[in-house]
Amino acid sequence: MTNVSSVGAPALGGQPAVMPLEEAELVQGAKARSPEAWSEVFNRHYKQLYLYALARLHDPTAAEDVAASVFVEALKSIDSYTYRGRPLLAWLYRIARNVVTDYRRSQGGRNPDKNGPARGILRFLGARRDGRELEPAAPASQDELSGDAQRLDLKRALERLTGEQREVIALHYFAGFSLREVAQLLGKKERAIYSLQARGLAALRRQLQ
Amino acid sequence: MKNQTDKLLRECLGSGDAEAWLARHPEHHELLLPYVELHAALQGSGVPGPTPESVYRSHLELMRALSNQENVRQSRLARLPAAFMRLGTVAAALALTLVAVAGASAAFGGGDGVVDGVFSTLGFNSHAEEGINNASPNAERGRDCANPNALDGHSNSEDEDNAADAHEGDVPRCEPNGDAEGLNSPNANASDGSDNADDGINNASDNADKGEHASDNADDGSGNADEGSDNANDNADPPNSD
Repeated sequence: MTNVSSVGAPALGGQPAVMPLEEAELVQGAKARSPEAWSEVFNRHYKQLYLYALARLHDPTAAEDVAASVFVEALKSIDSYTYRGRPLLAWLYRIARNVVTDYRRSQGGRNPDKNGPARGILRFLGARRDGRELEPAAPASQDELSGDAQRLDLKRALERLTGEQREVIALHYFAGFSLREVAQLLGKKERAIYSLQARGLAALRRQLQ
Repeated sequence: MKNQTDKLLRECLGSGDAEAWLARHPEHHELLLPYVELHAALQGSGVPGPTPESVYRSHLELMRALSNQENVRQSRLARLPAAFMRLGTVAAALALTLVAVAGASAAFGGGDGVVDGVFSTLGFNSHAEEGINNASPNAERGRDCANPNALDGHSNSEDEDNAADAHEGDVPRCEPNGDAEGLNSPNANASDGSDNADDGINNASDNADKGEHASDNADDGSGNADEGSDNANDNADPPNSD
């Protein structure tokens, strides 16, 4: 498998930048079931997909299952995928969104975990409201988390956003994609993503008041 | 009001540095500060990434799936030649059978008829019909060709002169008539000639029944009859002349 060099346009998720041609070669290797190609795809994108799943499910174990499933599903359907210059991650993200939806459906709307990605935000917001400065990140006790969850149920607030707003917030704030990359993943214009972010943030703030 | 907030917030966040934007626009500071704080909180939320164990397990699962898929593909590929081989064996056996049947047919003089029969049995009806259509004219032609010769032989045999010498074996019987004894019995020889002519009729008739040699015999008979006639005259003349 050809090594992918770090040249060219910025890539998604803060990964080393790659030329589209090289990503095309990576896809070609993946279609040929090359273990090296699949390992490369995995190493590049696993973390973002895991974080996205975590932002949507608030459960590290479920997020791990979902992120792993995304690659297995991608392996099953790689033959029907055609690289047309859009980032491979955009395709993987669509799979992840479907797997998350299926997972949530299978859970029947159960609340799997209260210790999701909202933990840091809850601590921050709680500290700000109490007039304290944010302390260095430290493992929070279950009591602290429960108290925070009662005051500011960020998870529920996120669930009340529209689908597009929620996707933008999850991808940008939790999975770490820039707004430009979010625009690529969702297939929208950058300007539209800025609007979704602003409206989503405003709605979230209102929910949290 | 809500739309105005959204618009300002979009402008603030889109600037890249929200706090710097707020510093430049103090008139919006109070309105936008809560949102900018939430934005900063979300960005610095420090969401924990996957653990190394999680990464390892997920990678292992992917490699296992890749290996399973490859195994399935290999087993499918392995089954393919076997299927082709079975098909090839059946085709070869069929071809050998046809060749054997055709060979046997040729050896026994059956010609293409047997092969046609085999094809007919296998369902090639159009060819079989063609064989039938071709066979009938040949049979008719054979009959047309055979009969004229036979009839010629038969008609030739009725000619006494031809029939008299139809069998060359009768000629030696005439030879003694050529000597002195022949002077006393010229008519007897003639009578013999008549008997021989009857024999000739019978023989010619038999030959006519045989069909295929009738024409040759008849021709021979015709030639011999001329000779017989000459011989008879030769035998008869001397006594009369004497």
